[in-house]
Amino acid sequence: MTEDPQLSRLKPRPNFYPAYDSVGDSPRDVRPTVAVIMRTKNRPLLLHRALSSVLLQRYDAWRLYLVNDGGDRREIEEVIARYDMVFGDRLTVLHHAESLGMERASNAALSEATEDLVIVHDDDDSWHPEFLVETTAFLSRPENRRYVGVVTGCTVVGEKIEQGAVHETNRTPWQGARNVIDFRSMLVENMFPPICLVFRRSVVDSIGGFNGALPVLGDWEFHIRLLLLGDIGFIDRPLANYHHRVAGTNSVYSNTVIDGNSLHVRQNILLRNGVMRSALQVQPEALGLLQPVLHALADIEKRLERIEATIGKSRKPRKLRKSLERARLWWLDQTSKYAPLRWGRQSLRHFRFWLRTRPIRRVIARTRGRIR
Amino acid sequence: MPPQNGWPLDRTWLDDFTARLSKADVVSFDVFDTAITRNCDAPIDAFALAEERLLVEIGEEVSGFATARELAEQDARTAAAALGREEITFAEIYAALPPRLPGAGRHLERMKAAELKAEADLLSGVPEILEAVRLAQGAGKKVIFVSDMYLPGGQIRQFLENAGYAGGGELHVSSDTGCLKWSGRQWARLRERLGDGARILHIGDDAVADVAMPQKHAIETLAFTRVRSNPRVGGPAGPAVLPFSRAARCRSIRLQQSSRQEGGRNHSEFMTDFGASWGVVIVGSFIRWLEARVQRYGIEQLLFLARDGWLLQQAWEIAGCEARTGVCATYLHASRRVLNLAEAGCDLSEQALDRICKSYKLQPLRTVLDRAGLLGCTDLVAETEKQLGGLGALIKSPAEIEMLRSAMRRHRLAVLAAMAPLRDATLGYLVQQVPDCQRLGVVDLGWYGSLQGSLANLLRRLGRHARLSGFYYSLFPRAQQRRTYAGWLEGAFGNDFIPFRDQFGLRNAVAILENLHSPAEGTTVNYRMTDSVYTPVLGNNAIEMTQHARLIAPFQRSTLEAIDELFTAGRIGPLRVDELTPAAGKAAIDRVALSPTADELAALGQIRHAADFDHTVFVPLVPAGEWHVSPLDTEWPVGAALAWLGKSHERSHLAGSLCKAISETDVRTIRQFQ
Repeated sequence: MTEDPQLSRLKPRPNFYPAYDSVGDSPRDVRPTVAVIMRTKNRPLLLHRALSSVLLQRYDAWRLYLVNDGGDRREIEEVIARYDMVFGDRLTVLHHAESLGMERASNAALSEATEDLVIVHDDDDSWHPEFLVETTAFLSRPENRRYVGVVTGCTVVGEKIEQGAVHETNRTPWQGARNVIDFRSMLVENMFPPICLVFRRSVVDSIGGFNGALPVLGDWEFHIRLLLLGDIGFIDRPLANYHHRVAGTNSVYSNTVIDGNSLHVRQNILLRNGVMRSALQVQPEALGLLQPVLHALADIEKRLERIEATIGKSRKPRKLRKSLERARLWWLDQTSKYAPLRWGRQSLRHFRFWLRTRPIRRVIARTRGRIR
Repeated sequence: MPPQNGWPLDRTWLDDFTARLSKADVVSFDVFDTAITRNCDAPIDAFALAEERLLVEIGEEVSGFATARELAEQDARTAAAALGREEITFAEIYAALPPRLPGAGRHLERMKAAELKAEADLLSGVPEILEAVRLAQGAGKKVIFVSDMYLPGGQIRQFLENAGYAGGGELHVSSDTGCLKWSGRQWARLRERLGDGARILHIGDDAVADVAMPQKHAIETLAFTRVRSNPRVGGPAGPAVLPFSRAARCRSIRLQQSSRQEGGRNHSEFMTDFGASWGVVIVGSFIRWLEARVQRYGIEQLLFLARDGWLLQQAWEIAGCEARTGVCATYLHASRRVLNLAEAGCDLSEQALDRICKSYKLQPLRTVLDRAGLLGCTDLVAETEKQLGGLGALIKSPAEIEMLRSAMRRHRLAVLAAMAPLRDATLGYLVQQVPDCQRLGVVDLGWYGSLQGSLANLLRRLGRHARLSGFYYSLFPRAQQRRTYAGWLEGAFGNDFIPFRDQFGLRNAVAILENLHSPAEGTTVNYRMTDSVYTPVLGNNAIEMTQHARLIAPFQRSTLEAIDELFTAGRIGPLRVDELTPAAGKAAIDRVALSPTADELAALGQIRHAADFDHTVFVPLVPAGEWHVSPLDTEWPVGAALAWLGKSHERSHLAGSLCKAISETDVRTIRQFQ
């Protein structure tokens, strides 16, 4: 149906909401196909679990793209041979003679994939058997066309490897995404691990693939680009499991997010620098606004640190209560000084003045004959 | 189940009714579960049938309708009670539905129509009451119907007419009058309307609403309980439960008829009916799933592991699966005891030490050493006795387990030598019994894949390179550890990627299922060679044998008879073979495990179960309640808690402990304890 040109003229420009209008772009039928990308390198102990996690999905319209990123080829072939009867023809294996890195490995699979939806399933993570049922159903619903992808709730599974076996140590709910993904929060930190996210294959045409230049945090950078295009929905069920080996594992079984923590911190800074540089190159005058705001925030941070130190030193509860009260008052003061509510407070002051002077203004108006 | 076909009339009850009829001027009949009844196990299954149809008509967005519809009714009742009203209307229930089922607002009219259609399709007249009405009208008595129901009177009259009560008498429905039978106000109103002198006889099924309350208003009563349905207020609700629901209803009506005529049924007879309804749905759905998997994966040979695999192997053969697939089934006399210990006897790995030293229930040092055949290791026994305080000392803490493990490590050679005979006999038995093929299927109930893991390691040790695929009822999360070496593992009703809390029904059913699937023999404790052939040595014991003869054999016989008929004829009673899906099997397990009827609780609760592989301690699934014992420490937590709820001094304690523990399971199950 073509749109009325009169109505077309009234379309908001720029269009803030919805950002991503994917009519005709959503999966063609009610059973979209899913490309599951799994990168691995010499971790057979975990790979068995990851493959089983995919094979036991109740939704079966998927294809697994297993990328052996420079690991032992024979070992991988032995592992997958054990599951060939379960896979049927739903497996594509890509062997890289040398490791290209996580993001390039993903891109290698992405370039092969033709399915409607894509997900990156790390070789140490796992899903609830209903993960694909729920996510494909969400992205197939007509009212959800505006979403470029969807994430589910997630459980962080702590585990350790002892005597050739994985032992679970604890489970905690993921504290990041709890609702539709908030772009502002995503700019501060990654809101979800890749195991939670299913995105539409078509978005790759607009935002490209994963950034191969990033050794870690490639998923965060990709999520930011995804949000530049449109919203990411949320399914409030813990259907994904993000597995963490305890710190100090320091082997092929390490998590990059645990044992590579310092690498993550450095890469975090480099990535934010890149994003800011890119924005300031387009709009250099934004620096004039950004600098005083950042300066004020730094000042707040210093004062908070000082107060925390004072509270830490104070032994007596009364003193502690006073310190906390002072901190609260100070924070309220700072909030009123720096927050955007300042304008609102000033406006409110004018309104109060206007209300207070109303009797006088009524007398004046009456004497002038404007009201009876 | 059209009741009129082959429904033997309860003549005893009708004679009783006829005798009382002469002393009455007015005969009043309850409507639901008296004059008419639903051909399903529980009233909520009418909503499940509506949901099944709505899913086809509208789509996934109405998934969960049955539960939401029930909750909406509760919400409407709470709101009405706050306004001082006793009864609600159909319209008020649906007005309360959208908050319980997002997206329902658009389809309310279709949902209402689906519910009424489901009710109409499930309801049928009860032959005894049809006959009673005929007798009363023939005797010139005034016939009236009285019902506590949210549906409008016009709708109920329609149901009655469709069921054969054409031209029936007055209808008094609580949704029209605003008064309930249950509170007594409906009876007061009726007494006022018919006059103080009127002699009224009321027929109904509810002990309060249809017996106690009318008697307070000088109304004679005669209970009719033959078609009373099960409340099943707990457990999940939804379309998957319908196959079991229909089969169970069919059998329960027969059971209630027989129990009335024969002066009560014993547990053996109950178990016979239970097998023909619950057993056939569970075993049948698993066998159909297994057959499909065996064909898809190209399995060459199936090993049904003792003892839980026994009933499944019988069903596999009786259902004709062997003939259809060409896959032979072997019953392998294996047990955790022999396979785990034989594997441990190969290398005494850390995992093996774990299996030897850890127990499900607290065990004394003597049992732990004896079951591994280590009581003859004098140095080990002397050292552990000294460290742990004697052979009778219970191995409780992780520190004590570690102490025992360390001692075994120190006496490694002696331990391995003591275990060598069992290891060699087990390997010999496996060489003899396990075919040398490429794709071998292992069938068992579940739950951690440890037997398959041990079997895989032992076969590797024998130089066999068969790829093992395990087919189970379900697997619990710890089974993931075995995936690296045990081969493929898959469950029909659940698997190790589903958190334990989401498998609460199965967790409750473990001991029930294990006992009901086992043959009349003890666990395999060793193998002996006679005439160059290895035969299993079984640890038979009197408790298991007696219980098998009384409870388990009747269940197994009727299950297998029903499987035979179902797979031969394509249907048995209301149950069709194509309805037997894994979802149907799981729903049947959940329903009985999480919301048992009084009969199920009484019969299944007395089964005695041995959780540990030494099979020395047997405890009933529902033990006598002690105030300090949490139901969660029993083999059937929900069953135990429900059985103990009747004891008021324990009620709050039990409800508190169980609610806390199951707070993440479905709302219906929790509701039973609130």
